Amino acid sequence: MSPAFLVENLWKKYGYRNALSGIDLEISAGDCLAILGPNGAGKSTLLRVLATRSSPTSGRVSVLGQDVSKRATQLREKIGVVFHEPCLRHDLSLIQNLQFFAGLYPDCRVDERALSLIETVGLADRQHDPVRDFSRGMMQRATLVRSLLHDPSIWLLDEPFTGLDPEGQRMLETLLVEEHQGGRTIVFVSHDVDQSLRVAKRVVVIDDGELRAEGEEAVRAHFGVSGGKENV
Amino acid sequence: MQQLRALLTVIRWDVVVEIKRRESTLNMSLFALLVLFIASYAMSDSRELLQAFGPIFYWVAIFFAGTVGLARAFLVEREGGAIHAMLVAPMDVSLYYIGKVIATWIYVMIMAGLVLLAYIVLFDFDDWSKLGRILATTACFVLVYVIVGVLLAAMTTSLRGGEVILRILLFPLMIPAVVVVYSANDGLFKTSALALESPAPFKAITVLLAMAAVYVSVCVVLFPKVVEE
Repeated sequence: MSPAFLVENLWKKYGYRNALSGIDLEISAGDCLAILGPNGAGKSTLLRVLATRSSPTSGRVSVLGQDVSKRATQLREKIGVVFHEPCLRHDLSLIQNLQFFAGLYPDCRVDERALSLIETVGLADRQHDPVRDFSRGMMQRATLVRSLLHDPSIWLLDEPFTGLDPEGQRMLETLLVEEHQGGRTIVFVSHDVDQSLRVAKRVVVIDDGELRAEGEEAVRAHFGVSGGKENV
Repeated sequence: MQQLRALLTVIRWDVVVEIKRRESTLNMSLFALLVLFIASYAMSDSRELLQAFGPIFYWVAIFFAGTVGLARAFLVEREGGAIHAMLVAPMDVSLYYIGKVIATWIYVMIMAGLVLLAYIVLFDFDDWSKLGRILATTACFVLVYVIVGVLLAAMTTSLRGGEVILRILLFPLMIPAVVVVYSANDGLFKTSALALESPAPFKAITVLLAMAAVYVSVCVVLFPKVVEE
């Protein structure tokens, strides 16, 4: 079975600055991977490359065994992405946003599953309100629904816990665990070591554009943290 | 088939958002109507002046007011980052550009329609036989205008002073199209038997359509590079 992602010697440069410096990473299908690292380490850049939003300066990225540089448009059907920004059209309601994005994916509709997702994230009674009126946390909940609307086999999330209240964070943790158990490949970027270790089956650290550590012990050692609640 | 569905989705929801906001159409129309009103008021003493300079103000109003709409073409997607989610959808990025061109053409044509109505009223235009060819020439001119303008808007929306940069880049690229419509002005607006027989408007439409074809072929190739990270 092809891995969900195979990243080989990935470099990404912005001008003269290296955002990613020779990353090699394999993510198996059905895996749940957390990417940790300090601000500006290259986590979001890596996620954007995996999401096909950003193209590598050099190196190779394959999704489900297919080269992204050749089949990006087709592969996007399989990927759902939560970016750091809400990525919603502010003048439309949540339902209208979902109808809009559903139109961009094949055989995608705002059906019972989508309505049940809206219920799960706690926005059922606000689904017809303009997104412009939503708080940051509500937008984050709405964007979770948007990213899962087309039932992707891969779910990428960039700091998904940002803006969520404690209840929202618990909801998202549960959702991540359930989606992973349901067979979805999940890759998320986070700053919270303990939360990541609790949710993900695998953790890696990126620092200065390079893969620096992998596994719970190495990650804790890298950040010099013990078992308590820690942020990086 | 899916790509066509995605294209129609982009156009449909762009129009829905514009109906909700009314910002682009209203801003463009107000600007254009003010230009025409001031020009007609300044020349109201002389029917000859109105007929001589009216057509120039007609194109000036559409040209300058259109930049207001172009500058806002990508604001809706940039606001809140919706553009990122659209660009990771399985839609050909060039089709996204085509969708934006069609949607923007619709708003600018609504404004151009209002400008034509105002022109008829304010500049005593009563040669109804020419309305069709004026509208056709305007539609082709606006098409060239939005094909170039939407690409430039995508490049400049996120820049500081983007609206100014958009205008600076747009005007030189539009000079050929402006020359073409200016050469057809007599055949379009002058009220004489000779003008009615003039082939200039039909030539202008042909040239504008050819320009649109050339520009769109270049822009669909450039657009993915413009929005790529």
